Amino acid sequence: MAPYVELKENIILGEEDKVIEVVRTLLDAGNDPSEIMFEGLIRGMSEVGQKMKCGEMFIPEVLASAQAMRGGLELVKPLVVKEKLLDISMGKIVLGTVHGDLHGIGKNICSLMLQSEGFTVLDIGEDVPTEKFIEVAKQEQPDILGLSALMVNTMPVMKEVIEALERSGLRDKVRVMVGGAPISQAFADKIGADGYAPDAVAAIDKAKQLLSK
Amino acid sequence: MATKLQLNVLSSEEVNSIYEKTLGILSTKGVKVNHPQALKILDKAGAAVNFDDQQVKFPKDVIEWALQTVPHQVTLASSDGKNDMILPHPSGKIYGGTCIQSMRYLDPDTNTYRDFTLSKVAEWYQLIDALDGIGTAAIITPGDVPEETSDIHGLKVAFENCSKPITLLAYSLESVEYLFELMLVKAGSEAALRKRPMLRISPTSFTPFEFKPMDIEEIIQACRYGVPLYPNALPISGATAPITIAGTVLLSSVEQLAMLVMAQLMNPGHPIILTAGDWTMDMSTGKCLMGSVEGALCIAATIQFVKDAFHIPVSASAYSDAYSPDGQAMSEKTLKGLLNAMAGVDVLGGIGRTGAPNTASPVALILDSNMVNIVNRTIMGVKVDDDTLALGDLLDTVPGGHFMERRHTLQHCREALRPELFMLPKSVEIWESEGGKDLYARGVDRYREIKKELQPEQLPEEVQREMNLIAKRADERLGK
Repeated sequence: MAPYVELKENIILGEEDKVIEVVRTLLDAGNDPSEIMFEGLIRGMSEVGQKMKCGEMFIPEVLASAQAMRGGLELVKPLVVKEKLLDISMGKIVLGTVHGDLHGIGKNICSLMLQSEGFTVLDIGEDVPTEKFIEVAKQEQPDILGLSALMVNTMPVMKEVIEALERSGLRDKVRVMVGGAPISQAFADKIGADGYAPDAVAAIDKAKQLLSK
Repeated sequence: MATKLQLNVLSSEEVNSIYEKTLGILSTKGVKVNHPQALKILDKAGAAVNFDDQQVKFPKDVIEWALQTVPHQVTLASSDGKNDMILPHPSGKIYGGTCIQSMRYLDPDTNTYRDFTLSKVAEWYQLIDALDGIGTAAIITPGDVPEETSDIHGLKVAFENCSKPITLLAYSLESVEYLFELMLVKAGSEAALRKRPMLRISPTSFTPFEFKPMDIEEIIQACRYGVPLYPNALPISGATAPITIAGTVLLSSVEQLAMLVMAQLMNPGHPIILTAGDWTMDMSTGKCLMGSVEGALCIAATIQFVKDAFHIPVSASAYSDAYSPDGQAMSEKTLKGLLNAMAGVDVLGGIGRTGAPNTASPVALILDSNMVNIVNRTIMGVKVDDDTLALGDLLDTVPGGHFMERRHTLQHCREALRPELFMLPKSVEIWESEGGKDLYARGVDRYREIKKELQPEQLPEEVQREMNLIAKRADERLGK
């Protein structure tokens, strides 16, 4: 079996130990680490992404694949030149549940899925004060700020965050995505968000769409 | 007497196994209670409290005492006494309960989604009063009031427009006191509220194994005033709960029992209606499904467990994932309605809800009320006695004869359920000539007919005035 095919297949199967074993073998055989990373690991995850999109793979399977890929990535990353590492990330996303809301399960699933798709995700937790969103947005300069809310009385806080971004002069520097069980496209439009996704898989597509503009 | 139809999702051994494990988890692992005052109360009352990590364990003897103390029957009062809810229903029927918190509705006149306004919320409650399949009205969220007080306005409008018992939950810690002020004004006094509580309030667990300050505050205040609680666990199988049905039933039981025990420790004999809930996570997309078959089975299993193990009233909802009241909605809701009713549910909630985010439908309210009536007739089963066997008539009838003119037929001819929305014209040609309307369209017609007759409640002036003042004060203090 060709080496990268074996690597990709084990990523799809979520076999972390096998992925690590194959990567070690490839490195020992003198293969280029950046080629292993891009042609084997990242391409393998890309195939996982395709299979997820058409419903062939389910979320827990995708997460297992992502875990397997990360196992291999940890071996090659230190060996890849810094410049080439910049090409890995699909974009930087900061995620948080708004102030007054402790719910985080949907956001956590989104975080895992976005990471598995190659985004760099910084999850700043739940019940995040609006000021903290602004502070992190200034420091981290994310491409996307993702806001989550599950309760009727915390949905309006999303608008407050957007307004705070405007006051801070950051609104045109970051795209805002919103999500959560009570959120709808109509609500997202009403508060001036750039994107809304009804579930974790849709969030990946929306994030990619926003960053392609 | 007919035998009520019953469904055993779980065997008695399985019920016992879940019971033992529920008590085991509560006594050895416990739950997190994020409320300093409650921790002190529970500590003093016999729970094992760790104040550092807010973890509370309930010894088995305390749990068993609570299960002995909790009442087996709960009555929710209507304002005119004509629609009191006695749980369990003396004849074994179920009550319909409407969906809670909805912010939008599917407008029957324009077929578009719109935000609820105060006037539309008022109409919603009046519609509930007019539908016989509905026992309790849950609060709805008006969009033309301050967001911070929308639950307070929702309850106020409910009291102004609905005579039936109300189902309530607080949207924030800050609004709890105003909600109880409204209840006291409506009832007239603490004693009156305690004697004839006209609503039930829902604390909800923060699954898994945690309770937020707002929900514990609801328990404290409800226990103070004698307002029945309907503790709600909302596990999401595969996300916040085990992916398997049995694991979710176990987790749900732990959280509901924790709230039951807390209430009994705060107010021994406090009325409780437990709530069986489950959403399942679609493993392909991550979307929470409200209408899945697995969710329906999980809820039915939880209902049966509560009935067999705790012997107290139980609620559950029959939600659907369909965005409008279509064939999917009716089939998912009817499946759940029947499963829940046969498993022993006392209140079937979610009436009027669609699968769109926080969205209700007045037409779904009518169709679902129809469904409750059908479920009620179904679960009442088959009456077998000398009269219904009609042995005499059978022996008397000649081969090829008929029963149309028999006295027996005359005596029973009006007993069959005739769901009005299902009574189609006599022929398909007549149906076509009248527009060929499907169920939803017939529901829209019915909505328009009922709407002409809707009336608000007539509250005494001083009660109305007090309620207005409470809402105004809440807006001034909590509104931004």
